[in-house]
Amino acid sequence: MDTLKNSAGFAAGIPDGGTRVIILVAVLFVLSILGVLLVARMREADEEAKK
Amino acid sequence: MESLLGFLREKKVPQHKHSFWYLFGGLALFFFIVQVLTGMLLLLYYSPTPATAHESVDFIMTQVPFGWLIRSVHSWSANLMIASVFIHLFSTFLMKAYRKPRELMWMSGIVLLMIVLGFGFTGYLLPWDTVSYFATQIGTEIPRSVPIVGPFTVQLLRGGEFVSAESLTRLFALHVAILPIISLGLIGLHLLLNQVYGSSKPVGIQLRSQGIRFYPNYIYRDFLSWTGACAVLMGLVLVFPVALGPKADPFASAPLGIRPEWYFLVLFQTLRMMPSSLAGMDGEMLVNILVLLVGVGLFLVPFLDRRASRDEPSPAFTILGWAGILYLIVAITLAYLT
Amino acid sequence: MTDESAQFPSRRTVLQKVLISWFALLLLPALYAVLQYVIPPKLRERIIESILIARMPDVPATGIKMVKFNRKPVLLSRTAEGQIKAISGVCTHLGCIVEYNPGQNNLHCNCHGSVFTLDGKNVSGPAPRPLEAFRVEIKGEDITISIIKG
Ligand code: FES
Repeated sequence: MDTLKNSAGFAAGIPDGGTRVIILVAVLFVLSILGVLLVARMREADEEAKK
Repeated sequence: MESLLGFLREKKVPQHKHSFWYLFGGLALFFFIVQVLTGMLLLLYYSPTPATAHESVDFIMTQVPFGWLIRSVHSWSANLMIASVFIHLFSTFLMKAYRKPRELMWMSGIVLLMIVLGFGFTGYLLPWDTVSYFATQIGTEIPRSVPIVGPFTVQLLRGGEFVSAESLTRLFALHVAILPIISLGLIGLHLLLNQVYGSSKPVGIQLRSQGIRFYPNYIYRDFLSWTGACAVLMGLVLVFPVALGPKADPFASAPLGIRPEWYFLVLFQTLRMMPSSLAGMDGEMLVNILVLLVGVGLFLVPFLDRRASRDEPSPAFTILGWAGILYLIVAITLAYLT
Repeated sequence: MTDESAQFPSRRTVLQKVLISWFALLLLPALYAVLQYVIPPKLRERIIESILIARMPDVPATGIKMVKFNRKPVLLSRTAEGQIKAISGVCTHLGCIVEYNPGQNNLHCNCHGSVFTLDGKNVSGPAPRPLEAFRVEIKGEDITISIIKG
């Protein structure tokens, strides 16, 4: 199976491992911020519901 | 919009120690949405004929900007959707959420399970590469041993005697038109019933409170799980992007070690382990009967489990559920090892 | 119903606004990828300006030789003086491909009946302009055609 290596031909078109890792880090970063915001808003909504 | 939110406020989600498992239905929905969106994009370039299918997928991969990404997301999200559906199935089964009054919700879910597997099967052939070609050849051969209707079913699936151009257009039509429209209706029904009856609370569980409102409280838990799902999906897509195998050659011999997708491995392994004849019956035939029994049994569970419908514990069904999970795991592991 | 709406004011909290904006921001790169994906890659193909397209013996004394240039047909022909002409086969009316008519030794467009001479002049029918012509260069036996700019 093709992992972070890019075997030419078979996996043609797929960017190399380095590029993909960079994209992955960026994606995880923005998603984690989204997650933090969601948790904060969830807590807020739960507080409101308790009142 | 306001009235819809008001509607969603009505629904309460019970809170208890197994509440975590409620998330997987929503996750299946999330992956379904991803499938619809990426599927529409792939349709812009895909061309379903033996002469062009492989070429058009190759074109998507190599010429279209972000084509590899869209295709990998579609492929991985399909796998994750099926995994979520399986988890949703087993957690619902073990919590006995199928019992009265949610029989119809359960039955629509079982049909949706079949449809999701159908999506996987029909989508698999579309790239027309060697592995997918032979997997489809094998998969469409299975019903042949069923008496009377068997050979006809095979021809119906293939649009002819062999996997050919007609099979490709047939499976393509199923994949992008027929199955989507049916699943949309069923998902709508499934969600509507869920809205009406709310989520089920397992038998004999003490509730900490009377549950939380779906909107605006529970929905953030759903969104949070979707964010996590998105991270897992992108992780898989970027670490293991989906490549395209060599073009199918119907005259070449089947490649070594050919295996179906993991969700068909149970069937695959059962077929392999089944002796060629048992108690005077053809082995393949026996598997067909078994599949039919499991399918019908699952569908009718709400009516078979009388104790759960009276809100009493039904340990026999709990054991059955765990046995099912065990068989799934053992069969898949065996299929990978041998 | 009234206390229900008092319990859940429809105004958005600050956190909700931040959340929604972040999500919208997050959609932008996805949208960019989708947009890039949707634009047909064929549009990005480089247009070839000039290419060695045929050899002298390929072009008949009467009639035409069809070649492909930037995915469109180009018609090569010889004038009475033996000069090589290269014109586009795309009708200047609505873009059909014209057909050689051996009987009259000219070009017909079957879509709406425009007629052109072999060097591209529009003689009848709805076509508003002559067929696009290309510059022809001959080196020995080799015929090179190129786009005329402007
Ligand atoms: S397109 Fe040629 S005459 Fe109209």
